[in-house]
Amino acid sequence: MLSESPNETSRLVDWVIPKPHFLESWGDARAYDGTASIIQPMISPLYPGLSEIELLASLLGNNPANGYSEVRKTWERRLGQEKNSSAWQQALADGVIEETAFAPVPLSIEEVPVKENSESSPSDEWDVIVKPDPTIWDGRFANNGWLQELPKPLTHVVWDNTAWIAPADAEQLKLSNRDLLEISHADETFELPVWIVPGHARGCVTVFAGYGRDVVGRVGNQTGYPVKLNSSSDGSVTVRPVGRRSNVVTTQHHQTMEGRNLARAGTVAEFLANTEQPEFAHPPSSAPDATMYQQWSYDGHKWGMTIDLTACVGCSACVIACQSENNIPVVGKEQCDMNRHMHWIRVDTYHKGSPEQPEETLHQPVPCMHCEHAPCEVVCPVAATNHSDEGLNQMIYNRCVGTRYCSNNCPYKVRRFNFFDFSDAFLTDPKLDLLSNPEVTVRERGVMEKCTYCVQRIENARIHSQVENRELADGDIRTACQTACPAEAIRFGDLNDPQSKVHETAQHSLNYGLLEELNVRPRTTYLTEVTNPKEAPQP
Amino acid sequence: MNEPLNQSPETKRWGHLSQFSDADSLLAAVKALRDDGYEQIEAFTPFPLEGLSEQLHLPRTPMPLIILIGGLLGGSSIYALEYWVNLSAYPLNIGGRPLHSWPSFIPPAFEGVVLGAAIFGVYGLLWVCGLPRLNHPVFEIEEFQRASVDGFFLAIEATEDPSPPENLESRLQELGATGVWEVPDV
Amino acid sequence: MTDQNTLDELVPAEATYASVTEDVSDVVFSSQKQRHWWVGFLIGLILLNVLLTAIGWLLVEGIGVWGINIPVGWGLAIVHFVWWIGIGHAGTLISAILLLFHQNWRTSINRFAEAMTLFAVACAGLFPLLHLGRPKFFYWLVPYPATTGVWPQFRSPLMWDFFAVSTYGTVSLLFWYLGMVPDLATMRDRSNSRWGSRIFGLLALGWRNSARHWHHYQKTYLILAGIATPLVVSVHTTVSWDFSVGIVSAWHSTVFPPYFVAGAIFGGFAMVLLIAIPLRRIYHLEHMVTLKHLDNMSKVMLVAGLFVSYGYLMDAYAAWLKNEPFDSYIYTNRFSGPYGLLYWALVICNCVIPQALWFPRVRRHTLALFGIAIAISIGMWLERFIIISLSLHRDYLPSDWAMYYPTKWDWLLYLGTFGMFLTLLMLFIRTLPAISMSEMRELVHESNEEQS
Repeated sequence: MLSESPNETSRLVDWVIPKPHFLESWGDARAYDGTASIIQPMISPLYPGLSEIELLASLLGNNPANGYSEVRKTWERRLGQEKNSSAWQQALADGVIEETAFAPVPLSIEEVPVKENSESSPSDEWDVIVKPDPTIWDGRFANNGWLQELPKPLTHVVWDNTAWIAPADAEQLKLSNRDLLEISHADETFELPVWIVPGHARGCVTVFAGYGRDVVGRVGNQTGYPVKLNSSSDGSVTVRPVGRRSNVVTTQHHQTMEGRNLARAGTVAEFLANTEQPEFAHPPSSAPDATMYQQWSYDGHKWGMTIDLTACVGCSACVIACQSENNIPVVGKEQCDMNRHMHWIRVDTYHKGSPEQPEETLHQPVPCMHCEHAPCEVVCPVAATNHSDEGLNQMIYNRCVGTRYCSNNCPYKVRRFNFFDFSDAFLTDPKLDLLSNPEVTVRERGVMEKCTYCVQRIENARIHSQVENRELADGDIRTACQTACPAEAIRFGDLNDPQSKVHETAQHSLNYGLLEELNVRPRTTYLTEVTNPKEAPQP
Repeated sequence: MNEPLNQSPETKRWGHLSQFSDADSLLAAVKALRDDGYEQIEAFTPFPLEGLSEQLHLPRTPMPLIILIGGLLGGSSIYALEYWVNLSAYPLNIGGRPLHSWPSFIPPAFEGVVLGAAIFGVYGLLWVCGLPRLNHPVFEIEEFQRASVDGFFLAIEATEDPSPPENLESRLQELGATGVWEVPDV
Repeated sequence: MTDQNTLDELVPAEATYASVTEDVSDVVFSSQKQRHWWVGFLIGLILLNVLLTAIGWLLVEGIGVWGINIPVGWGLAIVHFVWWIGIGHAGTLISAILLLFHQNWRTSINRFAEAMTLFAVACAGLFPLLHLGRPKFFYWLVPYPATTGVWPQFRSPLMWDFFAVSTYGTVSLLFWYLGMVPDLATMRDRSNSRWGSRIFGLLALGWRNSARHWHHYQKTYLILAGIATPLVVSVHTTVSWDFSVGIVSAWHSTVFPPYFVAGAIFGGFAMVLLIAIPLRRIYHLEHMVTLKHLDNMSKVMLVAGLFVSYGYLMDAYAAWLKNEPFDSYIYTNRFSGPYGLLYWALVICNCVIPQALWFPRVRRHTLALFGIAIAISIGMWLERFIIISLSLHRDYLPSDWAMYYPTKWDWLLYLGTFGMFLTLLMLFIRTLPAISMSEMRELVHESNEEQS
């Protein structure tokens, strides 16, 4: 068989051919509309092996197999044969081959009946919904530490899969989070830890498959629980509390706002009623804007960020983008259990209303706010964190002595501390060395770290503009989280530039600062979520 | 105990040491000797004896002044350091606070006052007392060890002694000394 | 109660200059009654090795061996720092403030109370140093002209704390030493061994009990006591600023400084009793550390305890007055949250049990006092834990709320500091005069004057 790494199948077969990673191989693919694209390797393979194309070619007798020449051969009619044909170069540069889209097929949409949320108590038969895991998918990414440690949407569970049930069902079965639930179907029985999810339908259990694999690798071994269901996912099952508990770890323990105006939301109707000063975005606050200090002026650039809660879907792509950009280490399940995960940006989840029928579930990405009155800076005894003249809250790693006072004094708790030598592998493991971004410092044990607004990207853009002898333009700098956001919820730029996109959203009437009542003057601000809910039918 | 020390003529005499049985007789002796015209009288008591300083006509102690100077120096130098560091040596924008954040600079300056005062106090005291000085003529008299337990002693330096030593010895005994010794200079 | 009575009870009528001197110096010079000492010293040494192990493992593995996390960045290490430094305060208070108020009863307890201060400050000083992520760079807090050109950041309460604690340690040492110089001269003169008299002779700096020296000495000692008084208040005030200057809503309160100082006196006197009660029993010093002393210290504890209880009430009042969702929540979370039991234990230890001190019979019952002192020490520990770690575990954003569970290494370090404290205390008892002999002689003198 052909495999990137040892797995359950490779253990049983006689012959295994090592497969390079897709970023190491040549290939081609089609987009959703049929547009063809040439897949170009990012690096030459680290280890010898055969890609799918190369394996097929060698089975057909083309030895030695070469992915590049096979791809060239496939497209030679369209892109030419010669080594540096301009059509080939163009396709590589564009990423797509022009005019290869398929013609659209006309379709009509039928209304799909939606099953109403049943209020009755569950019978013995429960509905089961099987979903691929949100981060490691069907298990193929089980050996990926970033994805293992990425908090799963809504539950914020890391390194494990869970069975979701409704709060009312949990009460009836006397289950709390982490209790093991036995799920039986025909002759299959398996156990999963329970996670109570507000808003989940009653009489129904959602299970996430992909975990519990036997042969994965250093990272993925011994993680999660296998989901054993032979039939299709709409089967019915019986459930039974086992009376034992698991050690599932979450990174967010509370999902209610306790009456605080953190993630704000309103409806289109409410917004249209008062577009100048919408009440839901600016509830009455007792905190004044006054200060006894003379303000520092930021005459040059004044970096700022806005995050649009309406656009944010809580996918956590920003978290992974940030992790890859900033050499953020993976700390493992045990350290996550001690609340020592290292993500510089996190996506908080809050439920509004009753747990059974939450009015709304809100996602709020929280990076460093780069407060102008940064409380963290004032308490550092060695000036290891201070302000740049463009308003960045800077962290000087090699000056930090590690008092953790800054983190205590950060109302957003966005600072992360290297409790152990978490980054050791970046320096000692030659593979992980390749993984790290050379433009970002690797932090040593005992040092505080946090979001920098991707200062390396700011400086790169500045250098480029100087080389090209021009002013920095809006859009030259895109932070890692911003580039990864599929909904373009994150904007970054110069608040002093009235033409900038971020200036527009920063001045918007829906704009508010998280915990602005503390008068810390955050540079990262939010746009209140605006929804357009379907009116509930009158009974 | 009452016999004067036998001395070889070549040894220089530092003065006379005499012991008294209690605090009151010591105070009375000091007063009498002052009336006799002795200026440089030194008394030794196992605890600070009230009224003795007045009887000895000791000048006011300079210690309060020394300590005041120490405190002012300590406090002002810390404040000056804070001012110089934040406004001149390495100005930084710390949490948007003013460079001269004087309320924040007071606590370290206050501790500087205390530290300066205490250090000047202790070292000043040693300096004023002429300490440390491990050798002293009075230590040559073995009985002097009682000065740190229950002995009340009185010393008169020879430089000051206008009359022959025999006169002083008899005068001391007359004042109730339980022991009189001639102290050699070492 | 007249002064006459006070003095009568503080020194027995038959005491003489020589007898008080011998009683104190014999603890050092006599070779009798050593068994208790050896037991104490051995326990101290064993625990001292626990300390060295705990520090060693911490330095090898890193700060992660403790239970701290984000949001609870400060855990037991800072709790124990504040606890120890609070204990230290009673020593300075007894030796300095009571001196200023001419409270003669301080005499027989001030020396070891000062020693206790020094050792407690030494134990306390370990924690802020070790709690650093990179302890090797602790000296960056010292304002020295570094080649980097960077200086400490004086707006940080930690800098104030660094100045306060190091000043406190230095001044306490100087004050203690200065008070001991006349006694070191006594030890020099009473020592039978050649080395003993040499070492004590060096330490005594040539003190010869001259009236001139006493003249300067008394003034200096009094002024230093006058300086030590605002110092001791400032130190715990500064410690409280570490919290109250912060933005954490349960920390940001102006009641903290007085409430911390009262707490320090409260816990400190409890520790003095915990040491004094067994010490006077073992070394038969009941006629020097009399029931009158215990009674007076109990009264101070009672008053300090009422101050502390008032502080707890003010916490509630401030939370109610501010009428902010954050503050109200934090306050109710203290007694009804996941750590609620600790809060109720605190109320029992610090507010309820000390009320027994209203009764004179309790104040003069050593066993009862010992029990109450233990309760107060536990109560003051709980207070610091609740203020420091509980305030952090639930703050502004519910999304980052988390629990804090100390690990065994947190506890072993604490246990180990008891070893350091006990070892130093045992060495002190056996090598230096534990009670001020010159002041005892002065007391005998005054007592004789009164009688005649």
